Amino acid sequence: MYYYRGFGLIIASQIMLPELLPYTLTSTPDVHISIGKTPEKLTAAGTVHKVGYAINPNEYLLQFLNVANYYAANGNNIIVEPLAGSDEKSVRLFLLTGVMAAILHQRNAVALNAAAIKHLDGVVLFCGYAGSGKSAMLTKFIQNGYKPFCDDVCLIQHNDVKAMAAYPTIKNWENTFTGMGLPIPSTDNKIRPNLPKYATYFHDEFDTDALPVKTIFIIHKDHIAKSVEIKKLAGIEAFAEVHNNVYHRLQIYPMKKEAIHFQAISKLVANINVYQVTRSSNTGFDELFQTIQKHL
Amino acid sequence: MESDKKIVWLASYPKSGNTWFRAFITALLNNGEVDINNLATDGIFSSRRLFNEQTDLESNLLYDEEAKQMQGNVFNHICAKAKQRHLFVKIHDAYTYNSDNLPVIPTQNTLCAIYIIRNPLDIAGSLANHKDDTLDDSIDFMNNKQSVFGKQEDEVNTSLQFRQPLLDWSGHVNSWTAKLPFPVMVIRYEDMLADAFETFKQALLFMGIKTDKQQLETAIAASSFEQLKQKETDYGFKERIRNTSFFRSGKAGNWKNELTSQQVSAITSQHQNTMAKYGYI
Amino acid sequence: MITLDTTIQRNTDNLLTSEVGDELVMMDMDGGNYISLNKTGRVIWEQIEQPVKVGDMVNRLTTRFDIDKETCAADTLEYLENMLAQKVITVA
Repeated sequence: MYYYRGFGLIIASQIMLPELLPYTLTSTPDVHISIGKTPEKLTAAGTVHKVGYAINPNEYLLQFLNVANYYAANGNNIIVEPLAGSDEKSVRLFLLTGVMAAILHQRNAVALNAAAIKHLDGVVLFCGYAGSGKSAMLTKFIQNGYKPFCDDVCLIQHNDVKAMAAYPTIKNWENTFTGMGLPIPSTDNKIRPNLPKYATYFHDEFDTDALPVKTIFIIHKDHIAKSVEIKKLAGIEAFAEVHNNVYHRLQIYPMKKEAIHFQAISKLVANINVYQVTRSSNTGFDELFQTIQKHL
Repeated sequence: MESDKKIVWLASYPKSGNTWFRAFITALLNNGEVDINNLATDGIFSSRRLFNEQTDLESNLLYDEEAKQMQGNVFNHICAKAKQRHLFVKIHDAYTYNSDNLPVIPTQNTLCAIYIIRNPLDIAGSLANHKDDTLDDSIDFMNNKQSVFGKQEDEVNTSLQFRQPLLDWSGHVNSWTAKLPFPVMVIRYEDMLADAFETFKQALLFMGIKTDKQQLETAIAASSFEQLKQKETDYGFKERIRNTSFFRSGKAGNWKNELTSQQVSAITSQHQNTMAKYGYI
Repeated sequence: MITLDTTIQRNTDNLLTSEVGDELVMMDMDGGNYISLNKTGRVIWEQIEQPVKVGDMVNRLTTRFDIDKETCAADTLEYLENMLAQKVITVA
């Protein structure tokens, strides 16, 4: 059995998860990950069936092609059934994204899809849909001397406008490294054997404390835009943009977690600055970096 | 059940009049109002957003081969939940088969397809403008049997759309006009220009949409090329990919002013049979 | 239709509310919609914690904001119709 800290939880796993922070067990694990046979389907009342996954307030079942089946239940139990011919990296990748998101939601956590840097006594978050450049922006800030806080996911505390980092791994596309003049990591760092996306790690610098959220930048990519534009968002607009970035947001509706997210996110945006930054496809990360840095 | 079949594929090779057709449908559904940045049709087959919503997967983490195994089911599910009578879905993908040897485009909930075809000699200039490429590059693209729309360098997946296999121009036409498991109506772009009323009327008849002469005329006027082009000038158009105009000339036969005789023969020699079949040579 | 004789009140059964800056952001638990009240909306919201007759409310607002009664009534009625459509208020 392996033990980790990840997603603000103590995790006991039969699967090795090098993306997370190793942990010397001193308290009871919050979540158990085991290898086994998953249920063939979810039958509880209120189950919503979609393409390759099913979900109800207490259970989540993902059956992803020939990679693996995953079952997450009651916020504390995951069963992984790797399928014949699948590779470990792919099995881990989908475990640590949608399946962990389901566990978090089952536990009433509020998780944002965000990359973040440390700044002053707190953290600054970058949100935006896949491909908008969150992780690239994080990497750009690191290149300029800032410390990473998280990539992909952070957890918003319910009461004190603080965020907790999920795990010390950053995922970037190959062209981000080349575009920033950084060496491309080794093939071992690929997050799937045939995907040109690489993990880099910051285990030594990982901060397990919850830190105050200072500012959130929502990054949009817009190919009609001619240069980087930034505007401050207020009220329901700020709320809606941040809410759109809830990690695996569509899970929260069949799980009936809307109220929890409404409370936590409205409180968060009432106490911080939210900016929308729009970049054109052609605008390099330098200009985006400079604009964001001015508004930190 | 017949009534479960709602999807109407609005299929075409790129730059062949697909947006015009969708603007027309929008005008028809909205009593003559067309917002070009918010067409009332139901998205594009290659949308990663629609895929992510139905699968709870971050599609950029999938191999293209995996996505092609699931895309069809995504649209079956969207269709099963849809309240409207028809789902009009834009598609540029050629009609191809995935690694399981099954059609990528789903059959189960498909009502029919409208395939819009345009003279490849006119597409060349339009495509060069759209991709900000030279005419020769565009002709190479139309002649290459491996051509893909939305392909990113090194298989990076940060685009908002999946890769769309196009084949070469003839391959695209032939894939959609072969014997398919649903009815397909071929509409010539040139006929839309020459006699919009009759052409759109036949298309509506084929799709089983009832309308009267007045509605049809209003919709045609609201979606005219001049109207669309003016709206692009006034408001911009999100589907264009660079700072070049998406709506260019909207004419047929403009190739005579654009292509050299070598460029013309590069197209006609490769696509002779298909061009002859649809009256382009 | 809401008139000056209608009695209205907050629809607290299905609404969660939260202050974000100048706005009062609300979530409609049934429809899953998010709604926001601006300053005008919030002034009305303050007045309708208990069931209240619209005419009485208009009188109070007219005095408080020193505007003519006709304008106040028209604006208030229009805003209330919106609030009713969004299920923010109920009619007694």
